[in-house]
Amino acid sequence: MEYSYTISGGDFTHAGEASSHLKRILKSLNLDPVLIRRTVVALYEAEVNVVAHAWNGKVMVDISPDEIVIVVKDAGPGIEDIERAMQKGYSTASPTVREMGFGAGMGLFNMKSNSDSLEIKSDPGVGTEVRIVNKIS
Amino acid sequence: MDQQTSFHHALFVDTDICNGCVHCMRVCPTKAIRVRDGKARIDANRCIDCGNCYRVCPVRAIRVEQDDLSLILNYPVRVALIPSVFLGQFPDHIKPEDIYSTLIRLGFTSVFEVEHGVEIIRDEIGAYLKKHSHQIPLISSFCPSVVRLIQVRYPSLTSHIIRLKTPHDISAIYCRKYYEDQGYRADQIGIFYVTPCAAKIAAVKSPVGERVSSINGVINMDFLYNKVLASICRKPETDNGIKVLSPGSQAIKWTLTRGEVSCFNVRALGIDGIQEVCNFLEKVEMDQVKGVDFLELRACQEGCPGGILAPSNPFLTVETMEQRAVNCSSKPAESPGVLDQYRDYLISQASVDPIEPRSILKLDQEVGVAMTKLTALQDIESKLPGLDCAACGAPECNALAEDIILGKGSIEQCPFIGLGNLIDESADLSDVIKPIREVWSGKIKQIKL
Repeated sequence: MEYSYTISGGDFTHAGEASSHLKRILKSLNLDPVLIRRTVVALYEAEVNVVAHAWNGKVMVDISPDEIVIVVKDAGPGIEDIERAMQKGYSTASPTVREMGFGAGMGLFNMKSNSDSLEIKSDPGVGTEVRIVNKIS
Repeated sequence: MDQQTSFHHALFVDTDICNGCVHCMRVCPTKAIRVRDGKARIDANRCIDCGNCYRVCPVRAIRVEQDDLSLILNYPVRVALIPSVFLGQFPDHIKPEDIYSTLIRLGFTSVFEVEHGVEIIRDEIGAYLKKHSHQIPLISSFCPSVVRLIQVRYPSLTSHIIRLKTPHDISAIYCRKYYEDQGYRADQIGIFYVTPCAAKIAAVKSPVGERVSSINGVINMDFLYNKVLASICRKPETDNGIKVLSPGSQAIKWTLTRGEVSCFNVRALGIDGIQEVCNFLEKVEMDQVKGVDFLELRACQEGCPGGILAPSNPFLTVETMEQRAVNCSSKPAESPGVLDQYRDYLISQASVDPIEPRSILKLDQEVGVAMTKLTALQDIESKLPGLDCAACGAPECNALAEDIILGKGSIEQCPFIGLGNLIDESADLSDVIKPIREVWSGKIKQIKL
């Protein structure tokens, strides 16, 4: 089953719509509540990253009986040093973004701890693609 | 684990009165209501006894069951277990002493205020918040409607519900123990809780996380309010030497919005109204609520004064109760507390079993089957008009699609689908009318203008 969503950069008000929708879908599939929670939290963090850093983005979700695959692709500045960005507390967010309660440097870290597999590809100045896979046991 | 298929509910539809107007169906937070044969029907697995349907019914067809007051006569000891909210229903000139003595005149042998139980449970919650800080936000178990809401709609959050009894349970256990120690047998003690809402009735009759309740019967607050007022009107002199032992000021305000929250020195929110509670739980479920330790969530606006069986205006009730709390705090505190002699015993009784989830959102137990059903559901939904007009007997197009997938409805119930089939001549008139008649019964009739 495939779903797709679009994200507008800078639109914090509507960040989380994809993860809310996905949560409803996953609940109707009777998946383990912990798996649902991990999956929607990982997607929410990815959505917020696009809103905070990129110009626009797209979410593609593919659910099969074995796994949930989420790809979040954005057009944006990209990540210079992915290794460093994955560290807990590392943030490049502006003070304004931080004041809004975002940009605490937990985004990629939370995404990683809530997914079974996380792959990040980035082309600085062009954009970033995040691939999250969670297994349905 | 086998899930129960039916739960006790205090709300039911009086089918003699119901005219199938769909008001109730639209406001149900768990989409538990459907119209069939022109009457509302409540799905027992989905209903959380919040009372939204009761509030909006224009013909008072939604009813609340209650135990007969004469039941109290089966017991030599007859305790009226009243919440402070009950005292808050009456105008200023009717004092707590008047209400207590009138209850005795009505047949009870003693009156006990639920909020005495707060002095035990408050400390226990305080300790629980410290001990379970890794599980925040912890959610109060006070409102039985919210507990049930979490079970059916937010199953991943059941482990956040504080596993402690509520003040009315503790007070009931205390009363029982007290009279047993006075030499009465268990079957001689009748404890009757006066309830401001339907959810508390359901909680007594089919408790979550405990096997049996200590309460023998439930009397609806509006019914007893009428009895008390009528009795006072007929026989105003009430002084029979009754002394009211008032709970402390925090305890009196426990059932008001932020009543629990204000007792603890932690980061906490008090949220009232079932829709606001739902909105907030959505955020909690997404892990978007950070650093909040404690959530007090109540189905009714203003907390228990907003209960469907509380007859007075909730805002006036809140003011009356706050006034009483102020008066109480100016007096020296009752020391030691009323329940103190049984403190250890009551604490030993205060825990409840883990609250089990019982999701109503799943389409099937098996993921693969659920996926097939979800695909079919979305396909059906895309064919429906999306008006959420309720003419099919379901509250929303999405709910009809779900009913169809679960074998509880047919797409022909949608009049728009029927009309479309008539226009392209793929169905004849009788095919179109039959399923709609099954929903609306006598409501579809010829009107001569």
